[in-house]
Parts: sequence; structure tokens; C-alpha cells
Amino acid sequence: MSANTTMLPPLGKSGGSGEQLSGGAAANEKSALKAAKGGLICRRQLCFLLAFILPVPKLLEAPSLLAYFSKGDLLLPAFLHYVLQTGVLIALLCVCAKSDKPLFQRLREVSKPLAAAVYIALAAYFIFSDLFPLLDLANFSNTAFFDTAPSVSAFLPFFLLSAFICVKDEKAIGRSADLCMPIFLFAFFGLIFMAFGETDFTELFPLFGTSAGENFKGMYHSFVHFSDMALIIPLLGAYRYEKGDGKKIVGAYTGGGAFVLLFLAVFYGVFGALAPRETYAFDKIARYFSALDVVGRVDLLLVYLITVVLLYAYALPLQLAVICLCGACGIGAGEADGVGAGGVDSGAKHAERAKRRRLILSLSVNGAVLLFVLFASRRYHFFYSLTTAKLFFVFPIFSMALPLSFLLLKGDKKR
Amino acid sequence: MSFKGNGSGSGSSRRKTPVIYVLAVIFLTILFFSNDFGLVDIQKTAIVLAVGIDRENNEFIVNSRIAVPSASGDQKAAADSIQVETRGDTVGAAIQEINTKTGWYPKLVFLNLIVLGDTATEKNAFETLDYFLRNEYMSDDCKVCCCEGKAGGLLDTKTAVEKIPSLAIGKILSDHSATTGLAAVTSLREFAAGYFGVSKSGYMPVLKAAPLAPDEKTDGADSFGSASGGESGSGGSSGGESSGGGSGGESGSGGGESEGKTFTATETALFSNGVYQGKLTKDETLAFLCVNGGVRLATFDVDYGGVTYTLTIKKSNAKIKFSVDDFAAPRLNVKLDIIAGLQDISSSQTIVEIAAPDKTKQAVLEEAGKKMERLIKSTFEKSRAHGCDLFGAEKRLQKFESAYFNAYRDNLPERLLFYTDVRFSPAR
Repeated sequence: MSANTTMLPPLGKSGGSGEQLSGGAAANEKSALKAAKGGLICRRQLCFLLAFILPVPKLLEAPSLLAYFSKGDLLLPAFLHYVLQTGVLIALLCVCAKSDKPLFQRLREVSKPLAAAVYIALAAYFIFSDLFPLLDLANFSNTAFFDTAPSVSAFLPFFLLSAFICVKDEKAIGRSADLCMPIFLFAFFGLIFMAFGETDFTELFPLFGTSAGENFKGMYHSFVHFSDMALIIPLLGAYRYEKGDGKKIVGAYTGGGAFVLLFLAVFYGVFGALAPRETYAFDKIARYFSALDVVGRVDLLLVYLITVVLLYAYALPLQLAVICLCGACGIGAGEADGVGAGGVDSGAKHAERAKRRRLILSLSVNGAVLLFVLFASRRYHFFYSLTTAKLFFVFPIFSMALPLSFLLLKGDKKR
Repeated sequence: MSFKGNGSGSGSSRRKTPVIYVLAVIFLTILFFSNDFGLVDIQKTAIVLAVGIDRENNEFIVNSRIAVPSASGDQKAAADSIQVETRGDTVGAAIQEINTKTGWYPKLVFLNLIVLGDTATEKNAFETLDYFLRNEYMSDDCKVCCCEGKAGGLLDTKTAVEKIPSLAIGKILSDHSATTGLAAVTSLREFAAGYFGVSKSGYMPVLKAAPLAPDEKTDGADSFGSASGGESGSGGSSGGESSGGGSGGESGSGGGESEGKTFTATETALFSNGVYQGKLTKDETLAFLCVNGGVRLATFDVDYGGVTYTLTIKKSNAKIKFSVDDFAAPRLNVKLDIIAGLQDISSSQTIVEIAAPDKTKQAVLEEAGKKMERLIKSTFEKSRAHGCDLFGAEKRLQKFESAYFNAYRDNLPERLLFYTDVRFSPAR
């Protein structure tokens, strides 16, 4: 993390893993200052998250879903999603730019119950939004990595990983983004390179050949995959905006969008009319690379690498849900108070208690989602229609309406 | 992820965490390399290499060529295979029947070839093929071809090239064959993309089996061929019945060590709406391949002045342009540039003629161009007559002249004006 980082701790979240409790009062102060300076997530990490992690879940099921409705125009609904989400991101950054305080701290200053309600609502949304993608992920891993139907336990190790991730705070998100950047770039461009020889971009013609109604259907059915801005709210809550950050963050997000659009174009160029049936897109696009006949399925190595990023991307909403629940329970705030007022012993107690609560919340959330995946996989189509059609409006509410409502927060910066 | 702490509790957790990490990594690694805990046990799995599908009334007859790996070090035993015939109301049911009959769970991951018999192609081929498209555990890159007669019999043919017939067919239907203009090779994905596209058209090679020695009476010129093939004469006669129900396997019983057959796939079957409509000849197939994907190192015979010239096509480059002209007439222009060299001629030449820089006469190249033009035109007319959009005119209409698509989509083949221009350039 750079020395001139712009971060400030979010609402009571300083030193979530007990970093500031390592000495006496002086050390305490130093640690708190470090946390304040170092923050939980820095601009670079936020940019990496937007550019290299958030696009990955869109490479699995979304391409075939968009092709089903929009056919050769599948780029259009994806592009519109990105335009909307980028607009919301700009609005959120404007809100951040109005004050030196993090987003949730300002919300809490307005109303503590309101902040808690937002936390709980976001946590519920994150869990809900991750349910159907996790069913997809389970189906994908069972199909792509096993020749025949594996036992139900094959996917369950994911929840071990997820439970571990969920115990960690926003700092872990930033570090994971750093790790995912090279993995994503190598795997993504490797797959694109291998697919390029089989790509016929004229399959995308005629441009605007699909009716507006079908494109609209494609758009609202795919909100489940493109609702990124809800994920950004807690992260911006752990982030203090500085001048010039906005361009970089928006640039990173549009860069991620460019990756997705490139992938969609190559995907449709490879499969054409067959695209609607080609689920698990990133597993399939490189399959026809001519050298694979000689050297075997080396593309699977790249698929494994992308899957590593994907696993993290699908654990992220659960992690954010735990973070939000912690925020609602005041765990972070308790920690911060303990450090400031109660001294070392009190701070250590608070930290221990906070860790224990976080662990309990992590196990509860992951246990519940594990049970869901175990028992709901038989009713995949029900959850498919639920998330893509019947309850699709939940996604724009949380990824657009809620972030835009932060515009109502008053700023305290004088220009 | 910081593990800093000041108490003994934090210290012990700091020590434990790496251990937990290592244990988790070991556990996940075991899962990763578990090979599905033995579900891919070759003793319990039928590794299907190829399937031949025929239809009888409302029933599908699936002949599966299954590899039988042997644990012994014997190379011959290790490369054995058997053929299992199963029946069902659907292809999926017939394939599951393998499990019932043999106790082996059918595994299609290595399925590289689907052969359709004439009974399967006279109805919509996708009534047969859609099972393989739906199957997530196999690649849709497997080759598809058809045959005259029963596919099951053809797949059971004893071949001279490989012990497992499907491997011999795989060589005939390799990408190399397509590049050299021998077979219009197509995969399940390509065939399905044509069928589900706007034109609903497709093509696939017609597979044929023939005795290794074409004639029982061996020519003196082909003494090496006769040495092996002549012996097989007794079996050759029965094998010459090609893809009859008995297949090449039967010929072995008569002649003892006879023989084996070889496969060819030089003709191309045309499909419209998934139904077989007609076929292209060997020369038309070459012409189509030159236009469709380009060929390299293919041979092309031209008669000029009573002498046959065999040219090697070093490279072909086709440009297909679809347009709607000022009179609203749809036009398809095929421009083909071929670089060819002289490989052989049917008469002898002097050393000066052989070594001459311009040994490939311009007149011969012009004649070759005219012949190729005739072949391309006849290919197009045949595809037009059979309602098979072989050159992708309908697809191009939709992509590049979409304003006319709704007006022309129903009768485009009849309206289409076809032009072709072929130029042969000499290669040294």
C-alpha cells in the first residue's frame, strides 16, 4: 500500500483484525494512526477489484443468457448495463467527494437506526444476490471438472474457503484484488487468444438486428449478473475519496466492462446461432483451439485460473454480507471505541469479542447458503425464474436506487 | 490479513493459522486430484470412441465402438475395441442401454465420430444428433459423417490401417484431409450452427469403405499392392459389398487373414432442414473446399491437348461477396485465386522442359481455371436445386443486406445471380 494512501477507516472498522492493539498507549495511537492512514482498502485495490474481479462472474452464465434473448445484439444489453452502473458509480463518487468522511460514517451521523437498517438490508441483498450464482457455480464445477455426476459434497469445500474469507475484513478484499489481477489477466487473454482463431465477428451482424423488446428482456433478465454497484457501497464506506480518484475508479470499471464486451463478442463469434445453449462460456470458448488436438486440454489450466478468481468473486457478496452485519451489530464501532477509550485490555477484549462475533456470523451465513445449495439445486429452474424474472426488480433497487439515494447526504467540504 | 496481536491467545492463533492453511491446502489438493474418487474407473466405464446410428421404424439403433483397454503390456491387446448394438426410442435411451447390457457406464468424453446411416439422414438428422448437443460431458467438436447403408455395419468394418475402425475413419476425417481437399470435414458444432442458423443448411462427408485392392485381378504395375491385397482376393469379393449388414468383419471369416478395407470420404452430402438432399462429387467437393475454407497441397487434374496435367494447389484464396444490385437483384460473386504448380503430366518431357522456369504453361492454368469455374458453378447449381445454402448466401443476406432479408428469405436461391471468377497463378 502506498504511503500517501487516501484511506480512512470506515464506520468503526479501524483495525478489524486487532492491528491496533499491539502495545501500550503510544503503540495504540501509532496503530490507530496507521490504520487511519493505511485504511482498509486503497484506491489501487478498489480499481483492481472493479477491473479484474467484478467482470469474472459475467463470463459464466450471462453470455448464453444474453444470447438467448438478444442473439447477435448481446453486446447491447451488456453495454447498457455498464452505462447505467457507471452512471451510478459516478454519482456515488460525487457523494464521496463531498466529504472527507467515509460514506457510512456520514450516514450514521444522519441517523444510527437508518445506517443499521441500510446495513441489514444490504446484507440480506448480498446473500440473496449470491444464491442463484452459487447454484450456477456448483453446476459449473460439477460439469466442467468432473466427467460424470459427482457426489453432492464435491462443491462443498467452496464454503470452507468462503467461511474463511468472510472472517476477514475489507483489507482482505483489497489484497485479494491485488492477487487476482495477474491471474485474471493471464487467464482471460490466454482464453481470448485461444478462441480468436475460431471467432467470426460477422456473426454479430446485423447490428441492432434484434427487436428492442427482446433486448429489453435480455437486459432485465440479466440484472442478476450486472448489478455491481451494490457491492461497491460497503467498499466506498471504507474509503475516503481524494481528488483525482474518480477518473481512475471509473476508468477501472469501464476497463472491466471492456473485458466483458470483448468476451461477449468473441463468444458469439465462436458459437453464432448455438450461443444460447453454450452455458459456462469461459469453459468453452477456447475448446476449439487447434493445438489442443496435439497437446491436450491445456485450456483447462486457464479455466482453473479464472475459476480461482470466480470463487473469490462469488465469496465476495457473502463477505460483504458479514461485514454489513458486523456493521449493523456495531462490532466495528465497539472495537474503535475500545481502542480509543478503554486502553489495551479493553481493546483486546473488544477485538476478541469482535472476532468471535464475526466468526459466528461467517459460519451462520455460509452454513445457511451451503444448506441452500445442497437442497435448492433440484429446484434450479424455480430459482432461475425467480432471480431473472419474478424478482428481477430487487437488483436495480439495490444497485441503482439505493446508491443514488446517497446523493441526499449532505457534504461538508467547502469548495 | 493481519495476524498481529499482543496476548498469548493471539500468539497461539498466529501459530495455528499456518497449520490450518497447510491442512486446508492438502485437503483441497486431495479433492482436486481425487479423479472423482474412481468414478472414471475403466473397468466400469465404456469409453465410447464412435457411434453409428441407424433408424428402424420409430426406433434408434446405436452401434457404439467401445475401447477396451487392457492392463497387459501387449500393444495389440491395449488397442482393442468392441462394438455394442443397443436400441431405444431415443438416442439417449439407446446409449444408456449400454449400461444395461454390459454393466459399463457409457462415457462420451472421448467420442470423436458420429456416423449416420441412410435411415437416419432421410429424416431430420437432428432428431438423432440433438442428444449429443445436449450432452454437457462431451465435446461438440466431434466429427459427423454419413454413409450409404447401415452405419453400424460400416463402423464394424475391418480396416487395413488401424485395428479400431473409428481411428481409421478419424484419419480420413482429419483437419488435414479438409486442408488437402480430400473431404469436406465437419464437426457437430459446425453442422448444428448451419442447421440452427438462418439457412438451415449443412453438409457432411459421405463415408465409404472399399477393399484395399480395388480389383481381385492385380495389375502387374502395382506389385506391392498385390502382394498384400492379392492374397485377400477371397475375402475381397465379400468385402466389396461395401457397407452391407455383414460388414468387413464377415470377410475375415472367409479368407482368413484377408485384408481389411480402407475408407474414403471424398463425396459430400447436402442437407436442408436436417434432411439429406443429394451429394457432391469428388471434384465438386474439392471446388467447394477451395471456396469455403481454402485448400493447400491438393491435387487437381486438367486435360489439355490430349495430355493430363496434375497440378498441386499450393494455396487458394476465396473472396465471396454478396450484394443486392441497383435492380434489387441479389448477387453472389465468388472470386478464387489459386496458386498452383505442375506436379506431373501423363506424357514424358525432356529435361529442358522439366527444368524450364515457366514449366506450368499459361494455357494449362487457364484451362484449370475454366474447369474449376465449371465445378464451382455445378456445385452451386446442385446446392440450389437441393435447397442447401452451401455458400452461405442467406446468412450473408441477413448480415450485410438485412433490409432485404424479409423480402428475399423465402426464395433467395431462385432469385440469386451467381458469378464466379477463378484465376490460377503459377508457383515455382
